[in-house]
Formats: sequence, structure tokens, C-alpha cells
Amino acid sequence: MATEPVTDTDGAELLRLSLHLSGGAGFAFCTIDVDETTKFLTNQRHFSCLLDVGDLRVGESLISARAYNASDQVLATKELTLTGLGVKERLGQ
Amino acid sequence: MATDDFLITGSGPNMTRPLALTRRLHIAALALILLSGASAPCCAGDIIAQIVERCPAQPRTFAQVTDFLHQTAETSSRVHLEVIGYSQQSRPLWLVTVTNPDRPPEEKMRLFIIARQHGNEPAGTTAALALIEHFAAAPSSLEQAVLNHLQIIAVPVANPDGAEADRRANGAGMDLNRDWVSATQPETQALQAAVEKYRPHAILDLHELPAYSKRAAYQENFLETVGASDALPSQLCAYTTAISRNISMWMSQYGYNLGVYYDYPGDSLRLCHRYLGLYQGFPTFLCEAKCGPGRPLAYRAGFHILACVVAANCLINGPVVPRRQYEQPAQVGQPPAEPAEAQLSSAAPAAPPPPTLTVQLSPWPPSRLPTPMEQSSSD
Repeated sequence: MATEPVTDTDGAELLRLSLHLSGGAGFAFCTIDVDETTKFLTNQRHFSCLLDVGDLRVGESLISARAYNASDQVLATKELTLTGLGVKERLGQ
Repeated sequence: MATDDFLITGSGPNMTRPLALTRRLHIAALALILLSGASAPCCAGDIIAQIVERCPAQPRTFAQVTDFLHQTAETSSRVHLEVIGYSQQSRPLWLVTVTNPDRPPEEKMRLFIIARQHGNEPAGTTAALALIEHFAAAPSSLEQAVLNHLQIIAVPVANPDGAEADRRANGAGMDLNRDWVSATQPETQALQAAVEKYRPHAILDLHELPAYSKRAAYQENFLETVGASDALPSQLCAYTTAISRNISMWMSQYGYNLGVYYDYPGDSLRLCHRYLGLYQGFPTFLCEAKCGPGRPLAYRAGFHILACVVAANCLINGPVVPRRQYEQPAQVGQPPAEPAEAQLSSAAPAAPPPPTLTVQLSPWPPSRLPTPMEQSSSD
């Protein structure tokens, strides 16, 4: 999982989050949550999404990526917290 | 191409009035793989393929749309055509309903389709007209059964002035999809009145993304809808979450990449889907089909058609998991499969092993139509 700061054409400050799911038998979709609020869902195993920096607090906000199967069962989880402009991995499998 | 009908094993939604689902509807014998690249081959039994086949290669002009709607309404008793208002330049705003007129409207779910608020985004109009044409003809018992339980309500050209000029704005130079709070434009006012009149169970607002854009969010197909939040009605969130997840799975089945962005209180309400979703409490979905090489009109329209059919299916039956991709349906007495091994990492992607899950449908919780929220505009 990697992150990259982005300034959009309208001036919005965003964080681009790129993620790869390896393996993943039964993968149906993946969600990105910020502090347990789902911001994004994708049907792709390899994707990037955009998070509004205004929703993120450095050192506090927990970014969670969860892969689900079609029964809404969690297959895998990855969690990060922000440290400045970079991202430090906190938990993971 | 093989078809893959699925079993409907979930319980249907129990809305304000329970649907008389004495017969489970197998809404869509949706087949695997349909729209890869430019080709859209039809396979027998695949309702998506049949509808997409009705899409022309080039967008219809507004005059052609008008002729098409009149002709369809004249030849099918299932179709009703009305004018809900006029554009800045006095063009009619058509609203079409397709249903079985012999069934009471209160027994039906109402799917509302808004297409082409931006005049230079024709795929939504193409999709809406293909859906109208297909269900007006109701070529099989499947479509006839669907129309016993569904009312399709479509505004196929919400911005006829922009469509005629092939530009985003309306005849007054206004972006209609930024006008929903102030509602200064006649097109917006007419749409708001129509939504209030029909009180739909779900609304899809169909758009397109430019082939080349510097906007970070405009690089791939996406949906946007209301996210799950304690600050919002639980029934609304249940609808939007379940339907968006189900659309995502069916998009995979048909080869469409899809992202879903979720909206929350505090987001700008100037856009149609947020105004109707976050503010008025209707389950509303912004559907953005990406343009570009290898994505002709029928492909983009197919994205919208699939979203509409899956949403309709959810309204009638609850979410149904694609069977082909996710294997066999749930069986009574059989425990769910163990979670398969997966890892989220930054490592190089690896080909996933074949899925072996036993599908167990999630409960479908909505028990009544969401009611408009008591919320004042903040934008």
C-alpha cells in the first residue's frame, strides 16, 4: 500500500492511495475506510483511490483497507496511520 | 457464449407494502463476460446483452429522441410519455414511464433514471432509450414479470439545449448539475418536481467522464452515493450500501472496472445525487462512465444499463450475487466457507486462484421507503 499527495485541478488537496491485493480467492471488492467510515469501494485488486486530506489527521487517522468476498466476509485487512507527508505502516497481515 | 442464470435465494425487500412475490423473479439471466472492448455480442438469455444491442453506434439527436419516444409510446401500452417542463430554450423535457399498466402502481418499485444533465454526455440517453425500448417491447415473460413489479421512470434528456449544442451547460450557460440547491433553472425545477411526484425507491443519475482529464478522480468508471453513517437514516444507508456493493460485483462480471465513492453530511449538495440522497433521503447513485479509446458509445451505455438493471433487481429481489464468478449459491445446512487467504500489500500483483466460496446472501434489511430528511441546505 502506498500513498502520494495530490493537488487536484480544482485545488483540492488529496491523498492518492495505491493498493495491490495478492492472492484473494473469492475476492469480490475492497473498501477503504478512514476511522471506520467507508470512503471508497472498488471491484479491482489493484487500484488507487483519492482521499480528501480534510478527512485525515496526521498521527491519528486510521486508514483501513479491507478485502471482502461476495458474502461480505473480510478476507484481508491492512491498516495505516499518517505521519506527515509519508505514511507509516502500523498493522497488517 | 454460455449463459449463467442465478438462483434468487435471498429474501426480497419488505417495503412499505410487501411485494406480492409469489413467484420469485429471475430478473436477469445475466451472462458472464459481455462487454469486453468495443464488441457487445448478444447471448441468448442475457438481458444486458439484449438491451445493449439496441444501442445505436452514434448518439441520437434531440429530434430523433423525440421521434423515438413518440413512436415507442404509440406502439406500446406499457409506455407513457409526458412533458414535465421546458428548457431555457423552450424544448420539452420528456418523462417516460414503462410498466405494466394493469397492475396497481402501489405494488411496484419505482426506479428513476436521470440522463444527460450534461448535454455532451450522450451515453446516459442511449442507455435510457435502450432500456425503454426493451421493456416496452417486453420480448419475453421475464420482462413482463419484471414490469408487474417495477415502474421505470426516465428523463432521457434532462438538458435538451445542451444536447442539441453538444455542450455541458444548458441554454443559459448553467451547469445543471451544480444547480440543485438554488434551483434557478427550469430544467432543475422540473426534475425536482418529478422526483417529488414519483417518490422513487432508487434514482440513477447518468454521466460520462472525459477521455482525457487532469482531474485525479476522473480516470476510471465510478459510482457515488450515500455512505453509511449514524447521522443518516439507516434505511437510506442500507439501500445505498447494499446496492452499490451489488453493482460493483456485477460490474466485475461484465468486465467493467469500478470505484464507488461515498458521500457524507457536509459534502456539497449542489450536485443532483447529493441533493436527492444526502438532503432528500432518496437512494441516489451518480454513475460516471469513462470515455476513451476502446470505449465506444454502446460500451459506455452498457455500463449505465447494467447499473440500472442491477439496481432494479435489488429493489425487487434484494442483492443477488453473480453466480458464475462467486460459485454456487448458499445451501441450507452448509456452513459458509472459511475466508480465503488473501493479502493486501504493495507486492507485485499475482493471479488469484480460482474462487471456491460458498455464497451466502446478506440479509436485505430495508423495510420501508426512506423518508426525506429533516435537514436544511448548507450549500
